[in-house]
Amino acid sequence: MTGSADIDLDGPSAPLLEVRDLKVHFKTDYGIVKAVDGVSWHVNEGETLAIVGESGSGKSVSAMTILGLVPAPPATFPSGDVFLRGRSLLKMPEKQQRKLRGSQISMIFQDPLTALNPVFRVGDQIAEMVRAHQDVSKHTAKKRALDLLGEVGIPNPAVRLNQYPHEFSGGMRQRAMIAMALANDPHVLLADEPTTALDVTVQAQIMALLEKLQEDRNTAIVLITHDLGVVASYADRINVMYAGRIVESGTADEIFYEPRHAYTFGLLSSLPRMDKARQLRLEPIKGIPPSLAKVPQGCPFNPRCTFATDACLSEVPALVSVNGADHSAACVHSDRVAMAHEERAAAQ
Amino acid sequence: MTAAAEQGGTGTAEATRQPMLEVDNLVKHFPIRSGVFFKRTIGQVKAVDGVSLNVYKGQTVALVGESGCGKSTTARSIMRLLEPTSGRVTLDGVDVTALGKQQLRKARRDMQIVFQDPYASLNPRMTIRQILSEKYQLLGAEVNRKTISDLLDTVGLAEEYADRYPHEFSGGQRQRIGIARAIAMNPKFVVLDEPVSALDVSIQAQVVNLLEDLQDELELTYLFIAHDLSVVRHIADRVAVMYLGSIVEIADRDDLFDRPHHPYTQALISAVPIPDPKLERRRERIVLRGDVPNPANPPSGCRFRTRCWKFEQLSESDQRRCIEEPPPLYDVPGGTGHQASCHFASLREVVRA
Repeated sequence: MTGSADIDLDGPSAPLLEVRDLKVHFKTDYGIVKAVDGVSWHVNEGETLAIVGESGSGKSVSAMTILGLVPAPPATFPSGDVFLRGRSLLKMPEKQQRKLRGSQISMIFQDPLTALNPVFRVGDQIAEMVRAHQDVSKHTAKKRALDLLGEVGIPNPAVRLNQYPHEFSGGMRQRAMIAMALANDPHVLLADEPTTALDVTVQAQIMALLEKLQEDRNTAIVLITHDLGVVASYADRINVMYAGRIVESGTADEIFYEPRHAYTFGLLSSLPRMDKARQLRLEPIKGIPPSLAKVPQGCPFNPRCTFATDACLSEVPALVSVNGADHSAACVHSDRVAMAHEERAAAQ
Repeated sequence: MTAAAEQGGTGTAEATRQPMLEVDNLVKHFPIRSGVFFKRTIGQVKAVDGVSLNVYKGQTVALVGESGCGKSTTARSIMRLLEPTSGRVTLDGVDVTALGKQQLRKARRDMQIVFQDPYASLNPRMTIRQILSEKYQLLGAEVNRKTISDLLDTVGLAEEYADRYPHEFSGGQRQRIGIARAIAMNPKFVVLDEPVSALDVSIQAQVVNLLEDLQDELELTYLFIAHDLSVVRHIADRVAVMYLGSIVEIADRDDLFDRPHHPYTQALISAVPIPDPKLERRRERIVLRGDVPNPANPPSGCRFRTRCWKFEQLSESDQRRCIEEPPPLYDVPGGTGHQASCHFASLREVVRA
């Protein structure tokens, strides 16, 4: 094993990775941008948690914060903490955090071309990752890099090892990124839009690879994406984010078949479906997502919401359980949303 | 009625009418040059290699395929933004490929394009009014205050936006401006090059609806380029699937999605995840091996054979046929104008299975 962490990851009590009431604010000339404003979630071994939202909803920032990739200043962290098996990550000394990043928790970025260093060979970049966390010789690290490239399905790994990122295709680069993320057998993999820049056939390859790796290693995957199709196929649980908050949280089936937040309902209604003959018209959500520097009073979704009433204007609705279990929504009108969804489903 | 209902019927039974756009055997090769002082051509990238298709008035034909398959190059060659290597493009009876420089500029009134990236395709130093007025001035038409405000109104923007700069708009609004610019001169034909790919899900539907309303109102003819098959199923009347510079399958929308015959189309459709977890759990994905081959050196015979899942199941003599003989576009039995370029084409249900 990596030998770098002092955390007992086999302790059964706490969730593998937990984010509790995390707030990430940025001071800008336009005011305080509340990119993440009180977000809590957890993920366990072998589980895929999806964080879904549109651009600017704060979904990436929460993941970056876990890895300490958000520079402060300009960022401030008014509250919140991140726990790896019950131990606080953010309160840990920087040196110790560094040891965990890339070994216990690692990340796959959206754009593999900018995430890889163009002037170093791919093999050397992966070997560097190995040597950063394990006390092994250069030769051993390189050999490990070779094995990893093979494992993620890159043909001719011995040749590819000595090539530069520009010699790789988009799908190959993403595979190399995954190899790098896996270099130290992480327990948690944060995947930030891992397939957004790729074609669908390559997306299918990459997602199949991630599923297989998860099965083999029991890795927890946090899948950050805007693509509801990808979420429907690969996520176990889903958090829907809007304007820096989680507005609905539940299993994949609950989110897709029993949405209880007006935003989730709106998103699902606005999607064109490949499996259905043409709808007469799409039903878009009106307006545009709010600027995070000027989030509307009360429920942040209220200006765009078809269910909104005066009750939505005063306070930000809390995320409350809607049917006993873990399914929760932050919507005053979750009952009306449920009825509207049933009507829609019946009409189709 | 909505745009959707009306154009739904215009898909097929129009063989008698003259198409608005006729593309006949369009070819675009890019030379690969090498050498320091004397550039020699050492090869050709066959970006578009013999594409033929017809688009009827008021119809939307979608060109789909993965990056690098030549769909954008096809569209740009049709408009002569790129000079085609060979082939013929006829727009409403006018041979576009034969036009001289002056005539081409005039013909551009009739053919317009909306680009994918609304951030890069609007000049950041010009106000919206300037951007839109420039269009009229370049094409020698009159423009006044009312023209611009009417135009903005058509695409759902308020008049007071006219004196703002592009950076003051959101992505969806910018795309509306791009659309306004394209439809300003009442064109006969509009290329939509991934017009909603850069937009958020909730905004995408707004722009798709706008495009459909405009088509209905102005009788526009669209060539819609996209890689998102869900949007294509919604907006297109006919769909052409491209792979490495050629059309491998073309059919009416529902025919293509419900009865795909080419192994590549089947793989492509099966790879698209559908936002329905229960359906996804039982759907089978066809995962293709490897990447798209280099278009400078495409495989012999059928270009898809190196990644084809069906090729692997064929007997050796059948495989030889794929390697040696490039498949033409065969008519698919039972389909109206449904063609697939595969020697061993057969139906495989991939949307719901």
